[in-house]
Amino acid sequence: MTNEQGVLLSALQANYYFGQLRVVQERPLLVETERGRKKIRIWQNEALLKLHLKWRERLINDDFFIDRMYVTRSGLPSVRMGSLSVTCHDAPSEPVQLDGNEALLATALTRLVQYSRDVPAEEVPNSASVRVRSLYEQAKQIGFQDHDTWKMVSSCFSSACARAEEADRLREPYQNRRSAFILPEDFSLQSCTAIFDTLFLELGQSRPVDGCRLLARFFLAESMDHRKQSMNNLFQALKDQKLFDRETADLLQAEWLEPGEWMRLLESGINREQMQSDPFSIEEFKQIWDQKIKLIHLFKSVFAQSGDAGGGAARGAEGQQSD
Amino acid sequence: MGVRHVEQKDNNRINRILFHYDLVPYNLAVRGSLIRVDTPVGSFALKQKVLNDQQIRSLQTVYTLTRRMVIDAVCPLPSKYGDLVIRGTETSYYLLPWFTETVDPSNLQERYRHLFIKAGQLHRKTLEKKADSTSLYQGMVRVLNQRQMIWEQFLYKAEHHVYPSPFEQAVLKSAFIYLENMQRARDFFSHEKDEEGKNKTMRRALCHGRLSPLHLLIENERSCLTNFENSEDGFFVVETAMLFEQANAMLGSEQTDWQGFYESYRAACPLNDEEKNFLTHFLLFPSAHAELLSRYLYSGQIDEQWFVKRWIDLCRTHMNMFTSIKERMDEEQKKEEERKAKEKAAKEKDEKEHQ
Repeated sequence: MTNEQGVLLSALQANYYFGQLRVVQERPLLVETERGRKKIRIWQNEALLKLHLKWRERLINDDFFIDRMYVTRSGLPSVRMGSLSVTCHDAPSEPVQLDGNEALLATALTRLVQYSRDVPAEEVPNSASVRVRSLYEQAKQIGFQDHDTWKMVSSCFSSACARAEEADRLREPYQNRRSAFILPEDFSLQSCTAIFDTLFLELGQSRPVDGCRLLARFFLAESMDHRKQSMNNLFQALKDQKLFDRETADLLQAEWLEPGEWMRLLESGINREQMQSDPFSIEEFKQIWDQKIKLIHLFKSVFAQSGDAGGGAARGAEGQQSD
Repeated sequence: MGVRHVEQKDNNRINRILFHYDLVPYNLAVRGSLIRVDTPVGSFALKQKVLNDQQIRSLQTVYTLTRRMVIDAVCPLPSKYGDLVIRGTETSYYLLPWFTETVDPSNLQERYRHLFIKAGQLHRKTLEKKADSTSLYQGMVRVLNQRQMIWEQFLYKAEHHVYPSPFEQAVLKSAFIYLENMQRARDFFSHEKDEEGKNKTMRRALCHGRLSPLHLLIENERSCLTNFENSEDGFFVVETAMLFEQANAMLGSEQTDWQGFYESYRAACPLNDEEKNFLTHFLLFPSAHAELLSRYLYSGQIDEQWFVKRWIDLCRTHMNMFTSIKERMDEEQKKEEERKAKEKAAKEKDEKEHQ
């Protein structure tokens, strides 16, 4: 045990109601106590800690757990150690699969969309269609060499433009919103564990980012790993909650429509020309491109039945498949 | 009290609540409105209740006072996240330490004895400055009007019967006393101003809001008030007066040491002259009597015998309580006057000797 760790453990013992403490993992720091396994978080940024405390307060509910901060003996949510703050959280370890837990996940996601909100976390990005076109022009100017990649990029260019325009159109009404759905930057299914037939969701300690972007990536990643039925169940469960609003539906579709994989393929090709490595194969591109189209179709087939799917991603989603 | 083991399907729901306290139960049993939770670190009572924001704030106020040792109360235990109440969509939960009560809930005499002491202590320890009591006096007149209206309705009906029923006869016999008492109370509560023409003022304190022999936990010599969700700052003499009124109705024909109850309260929280006057005048128009008359007026099937017996019991206990308390107050007054006279005489003697 390092000296710093020893100091940290004695601070934990002095400030929390734990009799025994034993380090079981260094990063992230996990300690075993007589009251179960706990995760210790160290905060260098006091403002971020305060933001996370308020964030958790807003998400308190009786459907699922949030990794709230234990209070110290004196009732405070953190322990001050010099310029750092230390917090203590539960650390359940039973992983959660999407299959069979669609309803639970839908409840949690719906609550997040409703209450995990703040002023928009990031600068509004440039329009997707402008980025697509300027990247394409840039590639043409440098005399793109990789024949196969260029063939794929140019054959999908018109679709990429259509998708980007559709994404811009869907995002447009929400450019000046005052409150936006936020999620921690590292949010994924691994942020969820199971306990007493419900979910334990870790907000962790990352900075908040655009929640729709992350959620769209989360759905995309899960749809690539799981069978279609599971995603269908999840969307259906989300629809049943009736709280997945139009704004979220539009912004999710905009994320899938934005041809990020097309831009990545092109950038990867340009970088290869310039001897920079960011390998992104045509196969990977095709897989994502096709999966996004399938996902939009699935989303629309579930939500559009009652007109819940928002502004309609008709044109973009109809875009040709990569092959 | 009936014991029922918690159904398996409820287990996870309860475990989810207990997770807020890092408690792992080895036994869960339903006891009345509580769930007894036995864990390796002790036994607890889990309570499920619909609570609003104001009630949760009241619980927090009392928790702070108890933590600062200002009052002695059984409060919810804070969760590991620092919450006193675990809020659900519809109902909320809170956890209390388990009390093995040594006085049976049916032993009302003993429970009221403790209750008067604890009420006095609560009021005394949280005493605040005096405040304008105009609205209180006006409120009392309104209460009096409501009760008097029931009396008038009853008497109007009874007097128009050629042959009044046995219960009506019993009430008519004692009506003049109560009507006169109500007039005396009205005279008192209609005077919101003191002799100098200023608005009267009375002391305020934290009031429990639902004092009852069941909102008190007694373990051997120790007793503590609990169920503070309706507590709030107020003119505490009203709560004291209502406690006497409630005990009067609850204890009925039982032999009761009213002077003992009054003395227990007074020892913990001495009342000033205005408060004593308030108390005695409040007790002149008891709610239990008006409620019985109202019940007789509006119930379909009437057991005359039961009503007559209840009326006689109420009148007797009320008379007993009122005269006992008044007697004790008069004694106090007499002693106080004697003490003052003695002091005055001693002072005069001192002055003479110095001359």
